[in-house]
Amino acid sequence: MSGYTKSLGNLMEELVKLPGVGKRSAERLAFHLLRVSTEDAMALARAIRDLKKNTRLCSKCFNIAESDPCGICSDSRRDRTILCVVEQTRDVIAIEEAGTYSGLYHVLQGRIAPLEGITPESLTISQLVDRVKVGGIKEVILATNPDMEGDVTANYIAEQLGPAGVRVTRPARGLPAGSQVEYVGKKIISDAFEGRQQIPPGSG
Amino acid sequence: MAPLRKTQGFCIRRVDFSETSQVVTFYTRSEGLMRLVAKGSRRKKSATQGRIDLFACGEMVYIQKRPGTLNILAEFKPEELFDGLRHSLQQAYSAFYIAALLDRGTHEGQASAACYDFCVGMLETLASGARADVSRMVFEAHFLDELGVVPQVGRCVECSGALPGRGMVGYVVARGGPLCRECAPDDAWRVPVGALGVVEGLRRASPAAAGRISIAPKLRPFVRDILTRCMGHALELEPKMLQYLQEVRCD
Repeated sequence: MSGYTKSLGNLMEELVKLPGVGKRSAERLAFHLLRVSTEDAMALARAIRDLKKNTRLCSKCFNIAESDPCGICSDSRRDRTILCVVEQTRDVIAIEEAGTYSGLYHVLQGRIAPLEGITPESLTISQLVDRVKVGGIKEVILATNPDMEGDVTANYIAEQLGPAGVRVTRPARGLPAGSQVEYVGKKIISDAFEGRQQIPPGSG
Repeated sequence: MAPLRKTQGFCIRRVDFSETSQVVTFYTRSEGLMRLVAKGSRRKKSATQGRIDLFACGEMVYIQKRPGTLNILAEFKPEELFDGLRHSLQQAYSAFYIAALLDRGTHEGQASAACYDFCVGMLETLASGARADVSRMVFEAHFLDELGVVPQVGRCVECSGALPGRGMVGYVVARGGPLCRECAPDDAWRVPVGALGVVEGLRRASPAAAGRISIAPKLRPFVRDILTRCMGHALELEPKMLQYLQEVRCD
């Protein structure tokens, strides 16, 4: 980065490696960090250092954690007979925020996407099968995304789990709350009709 | 204002571009390969009826931008999702392989309605649960024809002399196919004449017939090898997907 001091140029070179950050944004961020107090800038540096130093993958569920096993795996109040399989950590966060699931998780670290070079061997599927074989798990919920790659991944895992004899389920799919029927696709409507549920008498 | 255009297409690649948008690659009937921005496609109420899935096929309305700029997908109504592809890794991988070949072997603006119809037919066949390995070979033979590199049958590619009706013949991919005894170099790869006939049969087969074709076990490895070598030569690499397909034991 010519024209800048060495330190400023180095910082910009690092910032430009971040997703969605171009040269102009890197310059803006670098000058912002130059302006803020040393304390604030150091707090950012410490946060990045701590993130890299303290964050690891849980050896049981492959979720990101600061301890091994992670907080969820070591929580004795969680239901240890149900395992929810998700593609990535952000899915765990979304399900936890919904607050209705109290079982354990297994994070695949992706989904089968051969066009991107991601095959079953690149994921934590064999570790999942081993985990289920150990016993104690009665149900595995395959909560991969309901799209082509997510469905292929779920079906592949279901096949692999077949010999283990556990109940394998997939979350219900259909009309999202807050949507309008006229805007949703044919597939969503057909899924919603297939998975329709009875309204219990007297619930209105 | 840039004109709105309409065509039929199916999605072969997608990348989430922002919290609400995607960059998608479609293989279309009237324009061939097309890369577009689907603004707002990840919103629940979008003109594309939600996130665009791989192989979602239907009518698309787009704003054509100047060459070198991404077109904008204004509307997309998926009519077919080829659900059957999701049920088996072999069927899905074969469809991904078709997508990879289209992405690698065709160019924007290089339209072929016949190739588009064949691809849609092939996806239907795979989704119906037809044998993935033979279906894929039918597609490969057809696609090689589309690329202009389908192996010649019956005549030597050098001297146009007739090839023997049986036995083995020399085959040099870089020279365009089979060679007679006089033209073939001593170290040429040798294939049974019958395998060339099978490749020709695969090229002529319709997508619907793909699931009913059977290939003699002794010719099968040669047919597979001819298609792989020709594809590698035409696309200047061995398709990465073939490696995955072998891993899931499609062949």
